Amino acid sequence: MRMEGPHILLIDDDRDIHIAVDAILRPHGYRLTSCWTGPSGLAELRRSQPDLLLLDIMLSSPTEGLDLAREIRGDPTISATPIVLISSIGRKAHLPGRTELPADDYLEKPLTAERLHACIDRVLRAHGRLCIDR
Amino acid sequence: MTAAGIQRSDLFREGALASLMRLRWFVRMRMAMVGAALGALAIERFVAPEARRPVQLIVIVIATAAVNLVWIAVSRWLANGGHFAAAGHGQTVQRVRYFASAQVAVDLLLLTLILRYAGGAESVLAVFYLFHMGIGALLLKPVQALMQCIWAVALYSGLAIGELAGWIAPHYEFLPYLPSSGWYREPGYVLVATLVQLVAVFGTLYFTLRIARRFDEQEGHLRRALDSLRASRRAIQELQARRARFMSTAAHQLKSPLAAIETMAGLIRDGYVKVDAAQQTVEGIIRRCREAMSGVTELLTLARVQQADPRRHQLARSDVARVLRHVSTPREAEARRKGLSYVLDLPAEPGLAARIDPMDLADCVDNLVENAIKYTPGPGQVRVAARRAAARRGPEGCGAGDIVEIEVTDTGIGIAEVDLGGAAARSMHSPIFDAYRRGNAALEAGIPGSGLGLSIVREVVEQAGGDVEVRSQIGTGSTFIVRLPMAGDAAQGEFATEMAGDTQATGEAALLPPPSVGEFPAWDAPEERRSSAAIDAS
Repeated sequence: MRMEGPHILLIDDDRDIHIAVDAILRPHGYRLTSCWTGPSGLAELRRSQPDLLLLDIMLSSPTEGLDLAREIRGDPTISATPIVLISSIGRKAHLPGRTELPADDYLEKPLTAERLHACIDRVLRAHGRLCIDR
Repeated sequence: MTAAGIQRSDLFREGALASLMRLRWFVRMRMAMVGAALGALAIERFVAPEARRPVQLIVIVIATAAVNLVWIAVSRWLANGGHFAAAGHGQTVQRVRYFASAQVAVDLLLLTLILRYAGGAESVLAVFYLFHMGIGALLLKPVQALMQCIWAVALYSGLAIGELAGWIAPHYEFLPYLPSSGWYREPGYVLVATLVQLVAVFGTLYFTLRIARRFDEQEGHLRRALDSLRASRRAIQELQARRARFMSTAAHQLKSPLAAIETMAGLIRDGYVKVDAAQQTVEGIIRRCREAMSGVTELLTLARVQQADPRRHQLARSDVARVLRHVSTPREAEARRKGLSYVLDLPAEPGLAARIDPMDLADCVDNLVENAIKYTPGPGQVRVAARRAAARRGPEGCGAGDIVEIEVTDTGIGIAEVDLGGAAARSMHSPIFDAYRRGNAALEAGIPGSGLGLSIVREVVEQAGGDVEVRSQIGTGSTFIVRLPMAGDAAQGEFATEMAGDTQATGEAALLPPPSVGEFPAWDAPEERRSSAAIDAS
């Protein structure tokens, strides 16, 4: 296992999700950075340029995550960051504007270790980024 | 008719297009009359070949058709979308009326010419004058219709007198194959016929105008009813959309803790959490269960408040000091446990009362105090104060009288300007009062909350005819000031009498709680009332 695994940034206002995602990813060598709000998450994204962004849709407002994802896609300096949206809204088909989601993938909560790993692997591979062999 | 592109509703409101539609029907009908006249002449030639009609009669009928083609062209121009857009509505209505006037006047002239060559004053075709009076009454202003009446009588009497005097000759019989009655030469007949025509024409005008006015009124009622129906439909659709959005957000908010619980339980099951650390995860699961319960409780509170009759506040009276003490007892202990000082600054005036349901006021103040404690890290201060104040702008329904101000201040994390909705939004219309809206500072600090507390506050205060002001600065703290109508004894008495009168009149007495002029129910009762409300809401 490499010491410096892929760097994942998680923006979610739910602290328990951070603890759970950390518990799931850290044993496999991922580095996780946690932000609880859109503005702090965006600042961290610009600063640390993570390999992947896990972004909750509902932050301070019901669609702040989606708006943030669009903002990231519109900014050439960070638009290449793979984005995985997470939400308990429901299946992808239930999302507003699902046909042109400003993200690479979508994960419905509750998160499970298996689905989270599969999704992160898939998106990182698609972007030719460093992957963890589990 | 190319009515496309015309702003239908606007024009119908002005009546221009409606009048034009009637005119076009009039024009079509004239073409049918021309056809019928030519057909009748043709049949006559077949049935009575010996009958000879003057060629002028045919010419006039064909001229009528030609004139009608002009009318069709003009009506197309008037109905043209570009014209409607360019001309003002008033101008368009005016033009349509002139157009109708011109048609009726020319028709009357052509009809008189037809009469001249088909029976003169004796012709039965004179009934068509009446027909035109009906049309005029429907399409024209009463004054214009009256002018047409005078024009019709002048034409008919001119023809009758002209024939009587021999100025108009020769006379053509209406039915040339029957022996002539010669009545057109009798002054008595001419006088009676002209008088009958006069009475018939004016009578027709009068009755048609009266009926037309009633129709116009009803059309106006219908149009207004249609407009308000459309407005209601839009409002209902908007409400449904808002409700759907709210429900999806509420469901999402309730699902969040459940999703976290499942994830945490999954960590234990899948061995991501070691046995010695499992206790902590289980604590997390219990905490999230409580959060879900609390979310459901707040949702039920909001539903109860929204369902309740807003008039309950009008009849209620809350002793402010008593409510604040009731709320403060448990909250003060909670604040002290957190290392906060809790200051309760009760009104100097004994018995200061607000016109609001006491239980709802307690819910409101409790929500604000709970937030103040939650968002203030120790050491800090939470201050709850109430006072009588003069209404500056006067909350809605409060008039120019005095109001009650309840102020909850903390020295906590504060709310960012962007979350308040900009400098302008310091009222309860600030987005911070929207359901499930939470400030970024609260999220950053990881403070759990349902995001419904301030929605409940806004709903209640709005129903009671008050308002809420919020002042906040990041890092310094927040102040929420609830302003409510004051419930003076005298005002209460007056209002209770007024309501009693209303309910007697409308028979709604059973729907209203009895006026509680005295003290509000004892504070031992709220738990019981709360649970019954929760059962109702479910």
